[in-house]
Amino acid sequence: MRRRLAYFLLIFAGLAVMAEAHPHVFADVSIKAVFSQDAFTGVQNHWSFDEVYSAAMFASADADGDGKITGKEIDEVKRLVLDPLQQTGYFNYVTVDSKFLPVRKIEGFSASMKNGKLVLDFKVVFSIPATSDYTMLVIVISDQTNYIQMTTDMENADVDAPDGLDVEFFPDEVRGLTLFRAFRSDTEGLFLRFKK
Amino acid sequence: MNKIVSLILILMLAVAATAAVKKKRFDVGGGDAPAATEASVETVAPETAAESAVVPEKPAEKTRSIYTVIAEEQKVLREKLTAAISAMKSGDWDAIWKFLAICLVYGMLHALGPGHGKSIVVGYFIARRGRWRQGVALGAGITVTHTMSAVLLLLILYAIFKATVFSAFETGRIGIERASYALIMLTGVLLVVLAIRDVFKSHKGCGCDAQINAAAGTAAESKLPPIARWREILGVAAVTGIVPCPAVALIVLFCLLNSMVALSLLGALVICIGMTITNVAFGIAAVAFRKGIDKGSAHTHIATKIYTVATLAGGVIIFASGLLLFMNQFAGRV
Repeated sequence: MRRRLAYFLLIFAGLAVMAEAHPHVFADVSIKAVFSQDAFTGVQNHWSFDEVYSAAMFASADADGDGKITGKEIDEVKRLVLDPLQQTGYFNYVTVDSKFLPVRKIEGFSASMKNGKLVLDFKVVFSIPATSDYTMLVIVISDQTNYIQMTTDMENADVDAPDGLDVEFFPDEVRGLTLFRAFRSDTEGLFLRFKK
Repeated sequence: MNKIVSLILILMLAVAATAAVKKKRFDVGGGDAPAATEASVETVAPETAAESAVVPEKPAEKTRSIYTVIAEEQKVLREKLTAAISAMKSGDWDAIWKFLAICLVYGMLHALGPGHGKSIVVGYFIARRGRWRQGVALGAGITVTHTMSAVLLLLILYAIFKATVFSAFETGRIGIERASYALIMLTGVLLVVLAIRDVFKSHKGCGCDAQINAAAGTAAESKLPPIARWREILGVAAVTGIVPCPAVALIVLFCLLNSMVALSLLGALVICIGMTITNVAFGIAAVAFRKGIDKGSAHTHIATKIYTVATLAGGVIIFASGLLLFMNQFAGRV
């Protein structure tokens, strides 16, 4: 009886492990950490959605039917795709001093269609002043609801900083970081430190 | 000559300036640090000299979770799906077999995700004794409702909104989703209430019935709680499956936008079959699990208690599933 019960429990443990995958939309993401002369000012985002989702969103936004996203249609894409993500900080999670930084706003939004894929470019604005000591932060781009599977290319993440700042960075998994416990264990982040 | 020297000096200064940005590992300190940061400091790579830069050594091979593997597979399948649709649009109808095969596998993989009723099926058949055909029916019922509600909602909205349908679909889906998750929680609560009622009943009857039956040698079958009712199964299938599947809706819409109405319905049907295979497997496994419990405990003197605990556990699983799905909608807010 015990052996049988153990056998059934084993099957269920296996099935429970498998029961984790739920993306409906896919996006390839690349980022650039942006600095001014004396501060970290935000994260430049580049999102490229899968063709199926792109077609649905493009059909909603392309009011004049010219096959391009222009003028007010760009605002419509922002309203449809990005505005609903405001409460989750546009999936841009930046930690400093063991807390998440609030997103100030987004700027420089642009949308276009490239090879059937909806491409968004925008900067998520943060503000952390640089001091003479290193300030360390971690940047993660991820949808915790798992509705959008965001594949972030952290290995090729970039930094745009002026000469006066000393910036060091490297990509790695956020496994082990307290603030990211709710994230999937293999989520990648950009570890970054900077000083004047 | 002077010009060349000046140019070299300017270039050297430029390289020195940009070297302030380094792709370099550093110690993030404290017990909070990720394991990989313990690796040694790597070579500096000036940003402006990419071709001559030494790329920092990669940390140890990164592990991908099962979630990521399944999600990435779905991403690849979606790309192949769009390629097959494009091929058919340009006249290559041989691609239809590829399209159908991808739909089937995509459906099977997609149903592995949370929100497709697996935990409800499992919880229900732990709480309730079921027949094999009931396991199949609940698994299939949830999936058919889940996919067909998506097709129906999309087609109705498409008739109204035409190409701008998807944002309206999403608004409708989110509302239905919340109502469904609340009803799932309620189903869990009802099962827990039933279990508690059984506890009180058995206390009232001081558990004598079971003992008497056991003594009379008619123990096994008479002690077992009743089989699940079909009415209940239909109700659970409707409550759980009513959330329209956005993945199916997106693929149907993609076909509609490419003027392939029949293909959109065929694709939805095959995805539905794929998802049914996964959910039915869970249904059969859950019925088998409960049968295992019943068989193993029937001859023990605590059989009634085991059945009560099973009902309680099933109810808790269903309630917790509904709660987690409900809370997941608000995940990631900081």
